[in-house]
Amino acid sequence: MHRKCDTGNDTGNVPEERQPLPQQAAQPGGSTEGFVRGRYLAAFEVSSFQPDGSTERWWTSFHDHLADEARELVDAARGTPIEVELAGELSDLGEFGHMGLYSRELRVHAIRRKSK
Amino acid sequence: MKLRRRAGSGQVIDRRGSGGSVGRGGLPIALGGGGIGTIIVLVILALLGGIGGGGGGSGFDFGNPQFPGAAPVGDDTVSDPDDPGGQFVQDVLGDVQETWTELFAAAGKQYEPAKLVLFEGATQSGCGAASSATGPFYCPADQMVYLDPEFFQQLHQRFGAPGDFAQAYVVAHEVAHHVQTLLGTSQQVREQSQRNPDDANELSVRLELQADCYAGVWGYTAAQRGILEPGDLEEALAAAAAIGDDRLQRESGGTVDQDTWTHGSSEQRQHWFERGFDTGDPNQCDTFSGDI
Repeated sequence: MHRKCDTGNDTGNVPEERQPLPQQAAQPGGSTEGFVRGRYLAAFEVSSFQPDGSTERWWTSFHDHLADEARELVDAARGTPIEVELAGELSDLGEFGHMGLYSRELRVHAIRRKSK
Repeated sequence: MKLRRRAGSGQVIDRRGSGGSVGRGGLPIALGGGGIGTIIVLVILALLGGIGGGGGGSGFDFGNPQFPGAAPVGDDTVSDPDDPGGQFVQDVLGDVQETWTELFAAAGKQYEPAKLVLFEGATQSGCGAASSATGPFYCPADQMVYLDPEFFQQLHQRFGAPGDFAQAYVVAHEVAHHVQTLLGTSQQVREQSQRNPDDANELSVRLELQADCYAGVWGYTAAQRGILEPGDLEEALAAAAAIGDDRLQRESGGTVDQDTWTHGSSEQRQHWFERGFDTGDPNQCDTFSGDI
């Protein structure tokens, strides 16, 4: 089950279990669209987004309309994570991505990079 | 390499040309317990003949559970004779899985083959979406490998690792993750990583290097059967090196930071592939004990 990523709404909700998400993303069941800041890393079998302030890693995929932008991001983040803001649908806790090693899936529908 | 051409075995699911649409949702799985010590014991037990759950008292359950993330109705297997890329993947996959079937059988157990999904653009997996931008991966939830053959072009052009055996190494590496899943190693690593996120990268590296070693074990059998050609081993080693974490970091212009590695250095990847290739013995692939 996915929900929209929220930002800037300081309700202090804590989703499910394990470590609380940072405030910018901690809106279980929320519906307001927004960006989550963090570090994105791409490599062989790796598409990982780690929100700032969290040890969680999210398996990151991209909506079809972002194909070119996603490739640019993947190229820029190959091997070394880059700061980025992503917006999209965030799954509940589970086991996602390569080897099920990611705690959530983020399906990105918007990318905001500080610099290219 | 000289692979035997295989008819469709149902192991390859061809979703290319299906529009690249991705459905909603992933497949969260219940979590359990475990640890690095358990992983070491488990791997040793498994590879010393205790693999499988066929009544040997090993404690491993090799039942055939049904995965809700399995391929939807309407997937096609590779059947077009004018599709050499798909045929090649099918041939490699079949060869690799025959090898593991024999290795498991030698231990008195049964190997359950993985399936491989060929896609282009994007598709849905039991572990969330697969997109070509992120390259191949293995999903333990549905026990499937996801591969956009475009990755092989990247392997050649972007990473400088051409050749059919370089591509075969990638397939063998992904199947090795399936072997780890059958042996229970993957689950142990997931559980330990969830309990101790600080150890997640090191555990991931050890898991990936073991997959490289298992890929090498298959390479050994291929060599023994005389299907390798001059230069094949070098192609695999070049591919292993090309996707080493240190090389990717160096080529990105970033700092080489071992703490952030998830797959190991080029040298480590080559070393463990060669360990499997030289010995042909999965028992030599214990990357969870000692230095790597």
